[in-house]
Amino acid sequence: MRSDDAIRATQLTKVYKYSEQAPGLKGAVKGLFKPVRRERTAVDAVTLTLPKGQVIGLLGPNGAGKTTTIKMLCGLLRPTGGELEVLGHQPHKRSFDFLSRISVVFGQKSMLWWDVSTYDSLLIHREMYAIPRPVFDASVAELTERLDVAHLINIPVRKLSLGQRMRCELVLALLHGPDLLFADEPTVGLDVVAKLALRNFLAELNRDHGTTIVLTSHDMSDVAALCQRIALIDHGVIGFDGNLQELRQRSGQHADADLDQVLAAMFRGRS
Amino acid sequence: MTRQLRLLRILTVQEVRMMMNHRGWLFLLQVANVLPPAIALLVWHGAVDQGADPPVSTTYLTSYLVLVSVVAMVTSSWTSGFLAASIRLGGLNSWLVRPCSTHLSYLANNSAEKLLKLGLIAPPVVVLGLVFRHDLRLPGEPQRWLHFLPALIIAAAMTFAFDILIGSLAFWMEDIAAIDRLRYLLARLLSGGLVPLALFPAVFQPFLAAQPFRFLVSFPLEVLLGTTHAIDYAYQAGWFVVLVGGAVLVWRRGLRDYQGAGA
Repeated sequence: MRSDDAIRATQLTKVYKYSEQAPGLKGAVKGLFKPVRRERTAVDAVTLTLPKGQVIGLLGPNGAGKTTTIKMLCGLLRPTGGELEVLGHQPHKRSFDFLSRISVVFGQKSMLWWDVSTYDSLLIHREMYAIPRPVFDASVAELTERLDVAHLINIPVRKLSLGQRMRCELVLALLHGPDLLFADEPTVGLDVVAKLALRNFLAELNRDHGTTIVLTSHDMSDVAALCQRIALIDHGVIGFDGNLQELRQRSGQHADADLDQVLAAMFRGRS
Repeated sequence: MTRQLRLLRILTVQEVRMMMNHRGWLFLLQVANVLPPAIALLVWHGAVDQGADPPVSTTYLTSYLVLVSVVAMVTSSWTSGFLAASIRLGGLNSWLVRPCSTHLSYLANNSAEKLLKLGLIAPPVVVLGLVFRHDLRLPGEPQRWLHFLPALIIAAAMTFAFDILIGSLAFWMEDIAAIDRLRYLLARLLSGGLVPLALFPAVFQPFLAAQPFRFLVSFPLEVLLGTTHAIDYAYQAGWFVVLVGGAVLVWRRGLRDYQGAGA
């Protein structure tokens, strides 16, 4: 792995195993004595290299395998096959060095403690990531100013609106200055203003700190605004890897077509 | 290690703050915990007055039943259900991407709960002790208390490990509630949390002395009240290794199969 690569995945594969059960009581009883074991390949021999400092958008329809890919990249899931190195580490080993250098923002799952203020959550992360006090104070000041949440961080998280909470989520996620940020649908459910603020912030983060960002989003305007590179995943396979212009050409859409139209053309006829 | 301890401290303080919102509920929970041994005390005192001859002295029985609710509370754990839910619904994801032990938050939650409950259970236990003060004998030798404390802490660690072990079964099972319930019922009966094990028929005593649940509640009290043998410490250490080792094994094996449901 070259030292300027943040991610290097070769033939990365994830197979889920599950038991299938026929409907009704008969099916339940049958399943008890003779379960039907099935396997589903969620990610199928994906090969991907991401240089440090790049912003990549992983796009694909629901169930395409993009979230499973992200979960393997951040160490949540153990790959079934292939090789994976992220920041020089095997993510599933979950070493302190690896976990200290990444951060994950789940649009649909809060990392903040619900019943206390954002600042209390930040204090926990200060201990967790062993951040020295002066660095902590400086980071909190910078992030809260940039995300315009200085007036919100002492309010219990449960009292915040979704847009306010997402901005606070980002303060928490970036407090330790990660080299690599996984943002899984970070703008889901946000209004236009909140979405734009979040998008601008991520762009600034990449520009000013060189943070590598892996983004999944169903909001194509997020991807168009942020990502220098787009990887299309479908049925667990990367079907396209390039920039927006190349994607437009591949889809056969006109040069002014928006990303929604381009992707609709790419995934047309998907079963 | 120091970082984890500092983190445990700050998480525990956080949990105490959050639990303070539920102090009324916690107090009622403690009153409910004191009621079964209080009823058992009344029944046994009634039986002794009517001529019954239990295999232990009235002072032992009284001291045991006055203190058992405190020991049972300190050595209890409510982690299995929360852990199982976080595995099944993907709540574990938020912990697995952080550089700290996943179980630290559960440990903090349990420690905070104990700190709060100790303050809340004290008044009803003191009342119970005052009512039965003529038969209550608390040991005066500091050595007994010095032996009691590690036995109590190991018992609490064993229950926590047991909870991690059972909660981790959710990596493979849809619902662990039935297993958890069965464990709870067995523990209620066989730990001495409801009735002192010494009151069971003599024929069961060899089995009761060796089984793991005894070391979760009864054993620390036996140490305090001076009815243990040297070999019993070895039994507790053995079961501690089995439970902690089992929890570590099941957890590590489960993580390999984790599917991280949801985002």
